Amino acid sequence: MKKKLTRVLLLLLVCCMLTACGSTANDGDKEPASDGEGGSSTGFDLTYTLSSEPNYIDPAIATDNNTAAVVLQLYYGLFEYDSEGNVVNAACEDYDVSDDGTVYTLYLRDGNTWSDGQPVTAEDYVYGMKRSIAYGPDAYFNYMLYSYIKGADVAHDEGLEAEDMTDVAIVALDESTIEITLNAPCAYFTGMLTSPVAFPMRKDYADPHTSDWANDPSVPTNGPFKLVSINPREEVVMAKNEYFVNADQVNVNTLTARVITDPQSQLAAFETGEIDVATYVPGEVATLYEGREELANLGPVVQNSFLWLNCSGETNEALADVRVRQALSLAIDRDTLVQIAGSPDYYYPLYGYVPKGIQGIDGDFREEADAVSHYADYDPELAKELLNEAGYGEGGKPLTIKYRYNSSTVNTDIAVAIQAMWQEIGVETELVASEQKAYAADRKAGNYEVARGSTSADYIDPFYYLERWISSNQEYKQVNDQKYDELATSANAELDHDARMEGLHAAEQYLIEEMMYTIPLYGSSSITLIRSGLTGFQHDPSDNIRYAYVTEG
Amino acid sequence: MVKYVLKRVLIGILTMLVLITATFFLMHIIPGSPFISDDDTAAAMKAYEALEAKYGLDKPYGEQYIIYMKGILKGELGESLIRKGQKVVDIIARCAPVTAKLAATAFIFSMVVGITLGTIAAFAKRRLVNGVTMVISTIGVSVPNFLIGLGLMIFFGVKLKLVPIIGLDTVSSYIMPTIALSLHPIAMITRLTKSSMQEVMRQDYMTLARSKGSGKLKVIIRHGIKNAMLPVVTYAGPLIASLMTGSFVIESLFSIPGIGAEYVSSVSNRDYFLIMGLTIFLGLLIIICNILSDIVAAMIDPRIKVGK
Repeated sequence: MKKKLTRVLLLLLVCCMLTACGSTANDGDKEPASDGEGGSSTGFDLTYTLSSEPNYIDPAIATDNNTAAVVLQLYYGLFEYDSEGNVVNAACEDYDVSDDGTVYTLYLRDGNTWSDGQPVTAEDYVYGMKRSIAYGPDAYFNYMLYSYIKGADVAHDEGLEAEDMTDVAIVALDESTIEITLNAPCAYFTGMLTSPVAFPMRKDYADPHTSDWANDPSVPTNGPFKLVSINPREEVVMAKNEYFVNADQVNVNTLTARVITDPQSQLAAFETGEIDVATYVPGEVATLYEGREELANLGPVVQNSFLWLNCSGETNEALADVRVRQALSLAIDRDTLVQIAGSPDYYYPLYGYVPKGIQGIDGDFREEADAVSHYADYDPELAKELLNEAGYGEGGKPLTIKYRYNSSTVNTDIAVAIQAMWQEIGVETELVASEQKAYAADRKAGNYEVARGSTSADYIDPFYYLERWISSNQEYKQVNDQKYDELATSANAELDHDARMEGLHAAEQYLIEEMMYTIPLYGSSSITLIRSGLTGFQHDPSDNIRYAYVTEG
Repeated sequence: MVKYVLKRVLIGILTMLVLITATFFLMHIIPGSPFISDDDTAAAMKAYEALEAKYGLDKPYGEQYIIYMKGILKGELGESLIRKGQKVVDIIARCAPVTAKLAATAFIFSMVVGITLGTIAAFAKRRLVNGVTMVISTIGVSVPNFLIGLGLMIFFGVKLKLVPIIGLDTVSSYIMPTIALSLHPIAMITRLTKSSMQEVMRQDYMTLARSKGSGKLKVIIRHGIKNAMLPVVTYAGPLIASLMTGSFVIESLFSIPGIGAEYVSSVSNRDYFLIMGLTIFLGLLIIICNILSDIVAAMIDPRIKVGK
């Protein structure tokens, strides 16, 4: 009997070992990392982090930050954003817009080459865009194309194949010219073309409806780097693409994206030197690393923290009263919230809804507005007065507000701080924490009174932040004001840049200062840890970092 | 014996059916959807509806359940809803071996160390030795493994820089997660071995072996350990299962891309098909391990009745 037992135990052990061996064999394919970097000997290697596993490296479905953080290193799009949120030319050298603002003619620069040596043609960009539209709902950002380009909406809804999209107004006029016709003028359309959904694609590699081909290192790309190996759960290794149009300016030989899911582990890995750039660090790092040269502020990030208010009054009738909403906003000391969120060097009080990092008339949109007036300011005495006028607070009806938030350390701290500030003006707050998706479901169904929100922009224009308050854009109409709808829509349709921005400023002023339909809290900058001596990071307000031009020393 | 095994397998299949059904409906009861975002734009609304329709999530739960069960009969586990285009089977095939490698290392390590410590403790005359082994086993039982992992990470990884702290790339990167995972099983095995060994040493056949003139060490190894192993073996089956499923926190701490990390994120993402796939996989694993350890126990100890 005992012999049998030993056999069974041995068998179990062997089974365990076999599974272990099986996967070691699979890992073998990440070894040949060194053969791709022949040429330059002066460069260096760079490692940055991803907060979770990237999906297939297919630009059409790069809808999450981590996949995008890899795709951006591999492809060269028509336009890019600079650190202040201006659209700058990339593969598109120059472009014309027709007088009515609907026809864009884009001229491609010379020398734009795939990593296998073939030239990148206008047709590759056209196929890239049409393929994204044809990919269907999984390519979420394809709305940036089909919502604006003539004929694309119909093609998207009917599920047309890319080659059948003859009525879609994206045309390659010749090898290096693309013409795109829009349904209506759109002031920020070139910004849409910075998105990976407009990246060039090779018909001979990029299957129209699948994405697994994209993780094959033999697929050519036209960006500063090409794929060497990918093990999505651990790392993506990229090597300098010698055929890249600006290859002479690229100093990084091997670029590695390491997947580290735990923020604490990421900090530890930065300390030990396993990584050169820590890309997603918690807010407290700004205080923890204060004064150290590794702590870098790469510029503003288009992200705001604010409070959703259910202004319909369906859940709490007090919120339908503009005086109550204004009182709630006036009671909030945003400087204190900034201290709680992190360091004032990286967070700033937000006095309007649109965050910093977006261009206005001739400077930053937010700074322009703040210079004129703080739409949402701190004045607890005035808050008490307004509350009394509305019949609440001291001497009036008691007011209790249910505050929903998705649980995280900083959200909890902010919620508790706001609870104390509202207490000062005589408003009771009941805090209700829930998990992210459950919170979002309730918020969208209108099942809330006040909820903590945060929005990062898909494209960098004030209208991205203002259009969501137009009644027809809301699933549940927490704000339903025709005057606002009219202000925002007509401002956006304005063809003259300055007049358009003036109009958007007026719309925001009405939204916040006059009606306080939402309470802005604070905005932030990109907190990044960078090994000392490294410079030349190309950061844009969408918090994308391109590593191609980083230099050492 | 065959009848006994057959019966256990049938019960196993029934358990799986209950598990799949319960998980399916419970998972849909959790509020939220894989595609929901806290974003109010016309584009987000349109995309949400199109995605729900594409993956059949707009159908009633009953209908979705029938579609899913039909798929399972065909051996189809579906595609991930979050990581577009990736098959659930592929995701499991990629992350299970990572966890299995770590689990196997931790299993062997805790068996060897646990049995050795237990045996030493059983025979230790000095109070010091006894005290040290008992302190280790008390710490192992009472301190949660993520705390041990974090402590090891800060001291050996960050301060002393002796071992890497993320991933499982090199042999040395196994050291910390293995220790963190093994401390609890080591404590359990030490205690089991110690008490069982002391019990065995009091048996008549041990006295007989000694009186026949065999050396003390030889008697302990040949007769003592062998006979003291029954409780340890019955503990081993569930241990393998718990090492495969139980390293959620350790995996996230050391950025080990295994099954635990995948499970946690699939639930918070509401990646329905991935949740189901992983539940089925882990459920099968636990059931198989339990059946195996029951069979082994029945083989070792004929007093455990089989067949009825």
